[in-house]
Amino acid sequence: MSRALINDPKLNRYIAANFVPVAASIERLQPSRYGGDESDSSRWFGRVAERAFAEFAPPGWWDTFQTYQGFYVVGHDGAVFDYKVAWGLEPDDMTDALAEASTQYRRHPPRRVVISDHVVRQAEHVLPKSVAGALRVFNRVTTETRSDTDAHNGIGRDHAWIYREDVIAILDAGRQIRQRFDLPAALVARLVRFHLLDHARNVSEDFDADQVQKAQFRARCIAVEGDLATFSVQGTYRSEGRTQEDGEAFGVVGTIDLRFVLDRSTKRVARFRGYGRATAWGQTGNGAPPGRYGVEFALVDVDDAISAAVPPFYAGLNPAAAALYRTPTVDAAPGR
Amino acid sequence: MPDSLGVHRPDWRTTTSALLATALAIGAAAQRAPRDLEEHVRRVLPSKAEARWLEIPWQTNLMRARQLSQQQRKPMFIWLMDGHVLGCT
Repeated sequence: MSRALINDPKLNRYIAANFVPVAASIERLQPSRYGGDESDSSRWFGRVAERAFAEFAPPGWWDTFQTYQGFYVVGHDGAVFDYKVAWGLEPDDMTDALAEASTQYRRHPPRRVVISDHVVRQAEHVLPKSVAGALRVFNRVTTETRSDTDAHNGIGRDHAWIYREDVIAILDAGRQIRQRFDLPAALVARLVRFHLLDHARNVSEDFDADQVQKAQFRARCIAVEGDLATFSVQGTYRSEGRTQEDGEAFGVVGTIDLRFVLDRSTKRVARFRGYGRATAWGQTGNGAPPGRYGVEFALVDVDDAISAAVPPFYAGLNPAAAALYRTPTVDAAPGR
Repeated sequence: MPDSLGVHRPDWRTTTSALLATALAIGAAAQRAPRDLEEHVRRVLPSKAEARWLEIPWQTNLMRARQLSQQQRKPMFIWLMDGHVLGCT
């Protein structure tokens, strides 16, 4: 999907004015694809998707891709008024399609149904109590090496979680000002395996524990004021894996600087800033620049409704992935 | 009370003083963050033009969206991707 389509002001105003807009993920609404658990929402949406594919999907779409992804116009009773894969659609074409679907909705208004508050509460997603801080992670291909194409000018996004046990371990290890220590191993592994990845075109594959050759993150407490302790971290990392689809080697090697403030009384992240610079390679199948190219990362703390409702990608796949996301390891020894 | 996405927010009337004190302290600590780190971070963050789609009032609770759709007599526009649309996709 093009950046021009999702950021077109006229189209966005049209959607906001005429629809109840819903943003969702396959992991929640088609959980069988990634081994997740079914829910009221996924069961309801599965019936919607069946109708959508029967009436609106391109021939062979489901048999080829087996994914529910796309744009849907749906009534509250599950009636489907349009479905589009939307790859390559222009904003005006999309607006015209939505206008037609809206007309069909008014001609055939959905029947009244009961949607209980209990069902709504069950479908709510909130930040787990074990999470001490949510971060928003962004990445870009650096200006020196990117072309003018959409693929090279996209921005990778994800959320990252810092857990309460990470905060407690940092506060414990960093009691003495300016004494250096290794950042907790699980936090380092979480960053290098699941977050220092080039998502600028599509979700990148993560790294396995044995694909991380180096992950050295040295920290020190640089100031304490009341309950707030400020930490500085310098990290270096190198990882290389093979894509599942075609076995192409992909990797990243780089550095990162973190500066964050932890609240010693609440054991929560009060502020977080991180900037990383790396050289990446591989994944040309999803449009990455050929050869080696530069990547930048930014990590910032966030406390809003979206970050509470949307988990980090790898934490949201299924329960087993969520457990791994919380306590990952790397084979590289600290200091390597 | 939960907000439109079901997130419980603190009662501002009872927490304003504490939050203000904490914010001032965090602000003081943050001033020690190197300016070049802040500038590097800012350069990577999405521009306003790159984040226009986030101005749409997206619902993340499908069942709540169904309720709203029925109440407002508007169809739902559902955007579904591999990876959450508002997270990593």
